[in-house]
Amino acid sequence: MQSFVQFLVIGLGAGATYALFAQGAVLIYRGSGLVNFAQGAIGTLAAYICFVDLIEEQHFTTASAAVMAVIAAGLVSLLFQTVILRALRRAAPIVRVIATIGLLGLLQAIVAKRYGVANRPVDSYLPNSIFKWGGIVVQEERLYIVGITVVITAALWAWTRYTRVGLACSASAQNERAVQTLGWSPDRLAALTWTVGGMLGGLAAVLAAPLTGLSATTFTVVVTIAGLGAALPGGFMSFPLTLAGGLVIGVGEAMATLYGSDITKFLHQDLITGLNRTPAFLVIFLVVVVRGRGLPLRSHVAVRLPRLGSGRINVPFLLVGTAILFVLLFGVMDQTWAQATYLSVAGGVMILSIVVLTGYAGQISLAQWAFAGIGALIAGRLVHAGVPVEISVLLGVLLTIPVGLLIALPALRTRGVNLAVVTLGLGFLVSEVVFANPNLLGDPLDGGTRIGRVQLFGLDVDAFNHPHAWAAVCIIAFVLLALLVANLRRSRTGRRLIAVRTNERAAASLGISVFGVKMYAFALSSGLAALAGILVGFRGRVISYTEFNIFASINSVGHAVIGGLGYVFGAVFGAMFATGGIGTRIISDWLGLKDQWDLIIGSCVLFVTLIFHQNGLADVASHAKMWRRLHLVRAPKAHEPLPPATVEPVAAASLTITDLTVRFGSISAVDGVSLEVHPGEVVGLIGPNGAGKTTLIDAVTGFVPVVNHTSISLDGQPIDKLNATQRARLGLRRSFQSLELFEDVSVEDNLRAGSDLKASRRSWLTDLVWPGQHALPSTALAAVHEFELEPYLDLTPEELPYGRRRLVGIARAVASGPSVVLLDEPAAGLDENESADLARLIRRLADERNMGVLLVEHDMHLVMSTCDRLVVIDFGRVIASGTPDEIRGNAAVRDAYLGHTEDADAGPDDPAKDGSVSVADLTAPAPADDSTKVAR
Amino acid sequence: MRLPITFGGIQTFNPDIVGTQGGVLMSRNLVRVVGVLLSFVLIVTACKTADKQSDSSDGKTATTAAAKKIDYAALGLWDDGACDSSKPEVKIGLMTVFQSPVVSLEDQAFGLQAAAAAFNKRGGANGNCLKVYTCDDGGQVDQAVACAREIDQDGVVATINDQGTAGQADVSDAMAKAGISRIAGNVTPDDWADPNAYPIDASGTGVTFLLPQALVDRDIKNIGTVRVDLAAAGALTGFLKTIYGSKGIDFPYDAPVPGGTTDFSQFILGAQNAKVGGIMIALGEQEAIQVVRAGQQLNTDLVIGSSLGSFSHKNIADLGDFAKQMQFLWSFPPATFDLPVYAALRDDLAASGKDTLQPDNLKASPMRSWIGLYAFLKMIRDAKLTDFSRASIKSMLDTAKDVPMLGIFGDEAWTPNTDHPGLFKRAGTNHWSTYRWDTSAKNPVGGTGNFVEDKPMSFDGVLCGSPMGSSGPCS
Repeated sequence: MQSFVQFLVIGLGAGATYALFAQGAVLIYRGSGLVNFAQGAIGTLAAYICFVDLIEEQHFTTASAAVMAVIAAGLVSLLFQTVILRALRRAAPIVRVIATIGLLGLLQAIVAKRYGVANRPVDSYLPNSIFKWGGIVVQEERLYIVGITVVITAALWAWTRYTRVGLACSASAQNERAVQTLGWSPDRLAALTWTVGGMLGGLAAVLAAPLTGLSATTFTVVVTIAGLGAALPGGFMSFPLTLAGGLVIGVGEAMATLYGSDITKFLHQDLITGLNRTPAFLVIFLVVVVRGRGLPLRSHVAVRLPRLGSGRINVPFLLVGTAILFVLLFGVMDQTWAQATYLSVAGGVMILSIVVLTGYAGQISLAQWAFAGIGALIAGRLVHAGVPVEISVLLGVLLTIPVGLLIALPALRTRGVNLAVVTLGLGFLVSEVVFANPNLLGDPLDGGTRIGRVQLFGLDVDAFNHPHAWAAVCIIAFVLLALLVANLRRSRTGRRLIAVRTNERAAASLGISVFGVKMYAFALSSGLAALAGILVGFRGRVISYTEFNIFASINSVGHAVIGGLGYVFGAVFGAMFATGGIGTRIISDWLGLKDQWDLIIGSCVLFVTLIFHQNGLADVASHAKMWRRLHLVRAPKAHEPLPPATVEPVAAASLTITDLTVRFGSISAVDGVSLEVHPGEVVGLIGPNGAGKTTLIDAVTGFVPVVNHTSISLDGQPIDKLNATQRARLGLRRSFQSLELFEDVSVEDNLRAGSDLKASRRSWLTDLVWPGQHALPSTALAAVHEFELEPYLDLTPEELPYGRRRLVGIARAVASGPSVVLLDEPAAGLDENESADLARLIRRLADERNMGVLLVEHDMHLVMSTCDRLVVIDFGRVIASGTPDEIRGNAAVRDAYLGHTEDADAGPDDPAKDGSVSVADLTAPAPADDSTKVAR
Repeated sequence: MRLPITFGGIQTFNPDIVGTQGGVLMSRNLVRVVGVLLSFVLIVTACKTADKQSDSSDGKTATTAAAKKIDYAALGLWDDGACDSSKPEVKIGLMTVFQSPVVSLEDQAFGLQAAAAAFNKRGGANGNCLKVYTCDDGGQVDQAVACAREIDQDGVVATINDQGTAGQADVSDAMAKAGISRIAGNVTPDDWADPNAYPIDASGTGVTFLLPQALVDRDIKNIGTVRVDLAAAGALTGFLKTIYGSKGIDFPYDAPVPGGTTDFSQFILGAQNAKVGGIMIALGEQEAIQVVRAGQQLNTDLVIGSSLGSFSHKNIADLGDFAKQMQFLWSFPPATFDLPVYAALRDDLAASGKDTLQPDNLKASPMRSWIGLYAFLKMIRDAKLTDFSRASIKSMLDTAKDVPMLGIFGDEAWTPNTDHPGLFKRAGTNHWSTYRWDTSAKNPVGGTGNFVEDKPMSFDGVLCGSPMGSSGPCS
């Protein structure tokens, strides 16, 4: 017990340090809505400035040096916010997060360059007496740190809760415009929180330095991960919960140290490494998984991600480029440049894995080099065991894929920044638990995996004696993999990935398995990463695992962004910046800048790319007229006229909803609603705003859970337990009020995403090799003709007028010929003529294709003229149902829209209660009624 | 309407991505350019400042000048006057990791440069001047491989006191193929049986296997290990159990010290909790100091065993009375030890002006550069070598016997081409010794407080019968 308390006390000191780092990150998040991955690096820089520059070199007093260093940290933070983040104000959150990751890399490189990477001890400056309480040793210095952290936590809590500026900062992160209307400048508020947040990071590092010593790399990583882990339980919003999170992690680490040997024995292991790093990761993992959601909420805002390349392969360019590279390799380059070449190309393979995962599928991973190391480890152990290299490499790649799938699990419950945090923690954990454990690596004395000289198909290609041969192997591997990734982009599978990247809800509504796509992306990406790891690891006789670290992962993401996240060709540009690669060689040999300069310049290039062209160098290059002049880029082919479509009835199925109830906490959004939609029937679902119409669609299509699990069936088959994807595949499709189109791809690809699901499971693999050029399915073709979209097929949705975008949304929903389609306010924003056209189209879906349609709409002219029956809900309950004529005369419906029947009597011109439906709309005879009936 | 800004046909600004959302105008774009450029200038300035500082540190003047004339011949050395710069240089090399979070050995390179400069003043290699080529492998495989190539291309004929930390299998192989003999190196497992390696002792790896004996000599039976958090070190306790288990020694506490450790006192408290009598530290210099300081702050009664590779005279003197609780081990005495030949060693290294080479700061690793170079030149003198090709040097090393080591390794002389029993086949000497700190002992450089020899031990004697040493019979 005494030991337990003793280590509890130790853990509180470390935990307070983590919490203090995290409080700065929380403040920044509250003020700018951005997770600052560079918080630890800013602090580390401040600590070096304090103890090396000011105290050691300039002989400042500790107090004055600490104050100046903390101010310096604030200034660095402010500079970053002002120069970089303001320019990225409207960029996707993930782009801004990458900017902070870039800052982390930059500051770490600057510290390493300026102060060296060797650790330095720092003398205590706080009172550091020892108290002994019943055998428990308490160090006074730790008490001060805990006390300072608690006081700062309380101050921050009070500041953001009770001061106008604090409240404005919090509000600004959520809604800049609202804050602007109140007279606050969001930029200044963000600047304030970044400055104070940076200062808190600096203060934390200055306080922690005597406990930890100064360390350019590892300290930054540890406090970054532990700090982010501490902030997660409070959702980066709560200062008290962040303090608690930090203390839990600190105490957890201390307990892992105390009980490490017991745990090792309990697990019947000789050695377990990295145990004390697990608490931070466990906190991160649990918070992300428990709090995460399979699909984002309706409130989720889809963000624009970097542009995608076409994936078209320019064969002459490929052949000429590869030939030139081989001529340079074998004709010009010496051994050193050949070495730089294979390091660059291996880095390029890693970037391809990021293009698949982040560029195509929109999933960020900061653990890519952990996958790489695992691939190298598996292949290396097999070679060590006598398995031929060729088979070992293959197995190394294949066996890494399950590991990638395991790591993908958190991705199923989270996305964006949280995914970055969890993969960062995971990457670090793998390096500590796996790569530091000699029992797992091979012979303990080697500290790595001994593989000897590498031979491939009987040829000596070991990198030391034959660097040119190994570079050639890497180039061939890169070219083949790049072709696979390019094929993927053009394939059905690629469209699924892009659909999920763009909008998970929309993808699920089209029957695309978000789960499957994410797993596939992680699997393929981890396989590619494994190969990159093998190309790097197999260059020596003993595989060294120190290079499979999270900084390598962070740098590779940066390199991928520089090259162009959505472009296969971007890997070529990004590869130039690979550590030790061609860029490093140019910078060191030609510019004379050695030691960390490649990383510093790489980080600066990343910032310039983010500010001026987030789509990367490949996007710049792809638009260059020069290529066309050199006939290296072909002009896109004009779209051939589409064949006529045969309109065939869809598989008839009735949708039956029985006593459907949806609750959000104690509020019933939908309460016991029952209705049916039969084949060939248009059922209107109307009600005031907030009545529960969209929630009902969400519930029926599987986007929100229902209370009772026997409430929805399609063609008599209960579908309550099916997820959104499965329901869509059964023939239940929907459109969205907010459209939720796939803005990155063409209209044709939008329609294909909704209709090419009949591809076999083998297509996940065959698409990599043979993406094919599949004609639009007949159902999609029919949708193109019906909605008159043929002239727009090659355009992206954002290039279309609003009304046409609406039609694309509906056409996408019906492109696969579903039995039932649920349309959520399809006429919103359309003018009278467009509404009338839409009414005719909806009617045709029911009449000509026998589709069941549930129509949620506020345009009463459209509703009354189109629907066979109407169901009216208010406060989640059905208040009336019947034919349009019956509803027109229903008093309860009038009450729901107008409040009281008496009020309704005031006249048809009175505004409706919610302002969206007029009494006149509801009560007047449908003017288009006749014409629509004619259209039937 | 905003149009894309193009330059030479290349779109440099895309309003779809930034402009339409941010209302960005050209003037604001220019402000950003200026901002980025200013930031870059700041970065360059920050790093440049550091470069200047490191340059200036190279030029510091010696804090300890030669106080009196040294009779080199009396010490077993020689002074033939300055080497002849018109003769071809004898190129020697050293590659190691200059700086890393785990270990930083730049002072080994400084030590070799200082030693070469000093020996050049006294005749060099039979009149030929020595030229030193050093290379920082950065603890990275590629850099290590590049260093090996560079040293080969530079025409280096032998390396002195190199120490690989990455890609050592490839480096050893490359050196062997190039015919570059590796003398007095701090060998790794890849070098233990390498006929191209000529280590004087079992060096840094060997000390970790002997350290428990230093604690056993102080009657400690339960020993904790506080070690670097590297894969290779993870197996340390297992090895130690195979050596000392049969002697009734237990290792109930094993603590890796990971980078970024937030509280070093946990290792002391953890060891106390495990009821060990002492801990052996197998850490880099800075971490070792922090662990010892934590022990001092907690006023622990643990005995702390460490190699002299981690601590200088000054490090220990700063600990005050707590230093008495430490037990040190190395194959040769610390720099301030009162050994006659060390007068020359201290003088030669201090003349460099480097802080780390001043007697109070001098640790074992740069001393080995001087010792290794002395032995190399002594062999050259005795063999009257004038052909300084790689082949002739290797031939010289293979035939040299009993090179006098001037009391540095006890009374042992060194035969480079050896076949030592056990794993450390190339370890040339057996002598190791433990040292304690005596606050009243005289320091030959001045003042009181110095290391005193505690108990010599034999490398073979300790390891005999274990998988590391000879199979016996053991004395």
